[in-house]
Amino acid sequence: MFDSELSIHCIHSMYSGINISQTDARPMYLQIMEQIRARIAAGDWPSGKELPSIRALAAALSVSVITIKRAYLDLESEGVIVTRHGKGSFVADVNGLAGELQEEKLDEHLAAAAGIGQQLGLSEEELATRLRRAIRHVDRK
Amino acid sequence: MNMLTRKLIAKDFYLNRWLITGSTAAGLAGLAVAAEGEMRFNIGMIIWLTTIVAFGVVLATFAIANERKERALQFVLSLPLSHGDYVRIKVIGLLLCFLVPWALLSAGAVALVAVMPRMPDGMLPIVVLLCGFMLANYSVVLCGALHTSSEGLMTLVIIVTNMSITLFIFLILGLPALREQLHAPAPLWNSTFWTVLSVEIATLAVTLSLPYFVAARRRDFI
Amino acid sequence: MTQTKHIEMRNVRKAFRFFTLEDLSLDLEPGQIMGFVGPNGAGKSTTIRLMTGLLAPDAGEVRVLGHAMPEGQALAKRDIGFVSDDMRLFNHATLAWHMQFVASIYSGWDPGYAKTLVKRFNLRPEQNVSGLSSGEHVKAVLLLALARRPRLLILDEPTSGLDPVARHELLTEFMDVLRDEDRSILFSSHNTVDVERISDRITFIDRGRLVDSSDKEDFLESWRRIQLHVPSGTTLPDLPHIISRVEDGQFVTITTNRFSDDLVSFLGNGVRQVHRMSLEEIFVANVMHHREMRGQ
Repeated sequence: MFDSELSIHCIHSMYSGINISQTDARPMYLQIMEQIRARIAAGDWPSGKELPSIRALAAALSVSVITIKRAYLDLESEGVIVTRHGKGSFVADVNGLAGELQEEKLDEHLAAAAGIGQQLGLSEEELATRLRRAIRHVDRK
Repeated sequence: MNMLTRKLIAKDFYLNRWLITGSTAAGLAGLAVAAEGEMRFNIGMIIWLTTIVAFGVVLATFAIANERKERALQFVLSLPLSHGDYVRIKVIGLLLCFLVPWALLSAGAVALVAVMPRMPDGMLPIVVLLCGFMLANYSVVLCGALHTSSEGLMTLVIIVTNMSITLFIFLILGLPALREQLHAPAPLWNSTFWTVLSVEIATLAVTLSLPYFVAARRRDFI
Repeated sequence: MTQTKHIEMRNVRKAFRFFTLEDLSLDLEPGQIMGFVGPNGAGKSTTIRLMTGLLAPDAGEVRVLGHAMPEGQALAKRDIGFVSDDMRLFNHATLAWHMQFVASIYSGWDPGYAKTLVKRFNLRPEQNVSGLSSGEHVKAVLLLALARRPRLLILDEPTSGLDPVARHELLTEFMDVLRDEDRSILFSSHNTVDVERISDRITFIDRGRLVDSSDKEDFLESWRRIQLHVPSGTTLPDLPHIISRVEDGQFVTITTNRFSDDLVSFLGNGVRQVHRMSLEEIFVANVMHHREMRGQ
């Protein structure tokens, strides 16, 4: 049986600076994102550092899992963090470990796409067209 | 008997420990007084009788109706058991809680009559029937407590069963086949005795099995 | 890991003399917390009793941890921690007695965690239960449920009657439960602030009927109060998904449950302010609208 008292206090001391206020006009997920971005920008959370798991942070802040999930997803779409499926989330950076993670992730996605393309019987050209379409879609956002 | 059943029966014994020991002590005290014979005998036997009856009523109502009223029933029903389990455990547990003092005090009364030279052993059949009656009486109260949550109805059951004790004594002493043996030196287990005893046993059987068929089958509790 | 939903209610009906629970459907996935909110008399306790096997449905299906209720309740309750604010312990025993009682029945009892909770909740095990205040009593019942580490916690108004410190302690423990993605919690509460903070999903119920059930973030993102200036002579276009509309001269405040950027552009220049709504405001607006729709 793990010593829950000890571990809760450990996590509290790691993230005790993060405060989510319900009287703040901004929604909770935005507050979380801001505070994470602030720590990354200040260098307290260096690139490549592993973020707490969604559930661990939810428990530490007493905020719902779904809110933390949303914050992480949005941070990821902003490119601030990178999530490796099954490995966790990490602070992103153009250089260094996080960049490598991004590259690996890209390769994974492309391999998956190639596999599906093959199943659908798409040619290389057709698949490339689809990729270009997706790129344009992202640019538009 | 699985762990949960044992634990819950033990719980009823534990929560009613003072009631059980106190009633046993009071009943034995009554017998001690009765042992001194004559007037003291009557007084002592009344104490003995009242103690057993009152103990039964308090036990049945306290352990069931009060449990419900004080909302400990919700706690018990949150345990891993079904409604049927709860009823069965209550029947067994509360029967056992009653049987312990009852057996002791009944044996005590029988021993008193059999051992003391001043008491004619012809009284034994009546004493035995009286003990049997109190057990049957208790099981009626227990059965009632398990089937109704209405305080009014329960009060009615208690009043009726209380009255029936006095009625039973008059009845018993009114039956010539039994009364005539009262002062005999040796007990006579005649057919009247067996008839009354079988009625008591039948009552016991019905009231103890009714919960299994009715209360246990209830789909809604509370 | 496990695919079975922790709670599944389908078209459940339960009729009483003066109240009927009608056509209620509800789902709770493992790893989730669901907040169950409704006015007094809405049917929250009835619904919870249907989940814990205290009541049997007149129609529809109730499945908890895969077991049909109430038939499977003896098995289901091995993994369910049920606490209701009107539940009480045995009056003539101590908290310590209750702890060893529960520990002997459930294999999941964690004595270390139990000790931690005793300290955290400021309780004294040697104290007789009859001497506990109402708030302490609830904390004691919650302790007994939490220390077993059950897979599913069903809580009926667990924080009512608790002071803010105790509430905070309790919410911390609830969120701690959710570290395990195989455990879940359903709790009913009037405290919309707490519900808003920790729930993943929220279900609104009113007068025996389901009003709404969604992810919390969806609720918070879909509902808005929009203040418009509608100059005299112009009328507002007919809009779908307008829950309410309050006019004050040239100013109109509309409440919508399907907010989008498109809606704002559609409303044009008249839009003065767009306010997010707190869960409490969403709840009240939702219930009022629902009652209106049902002609009540």
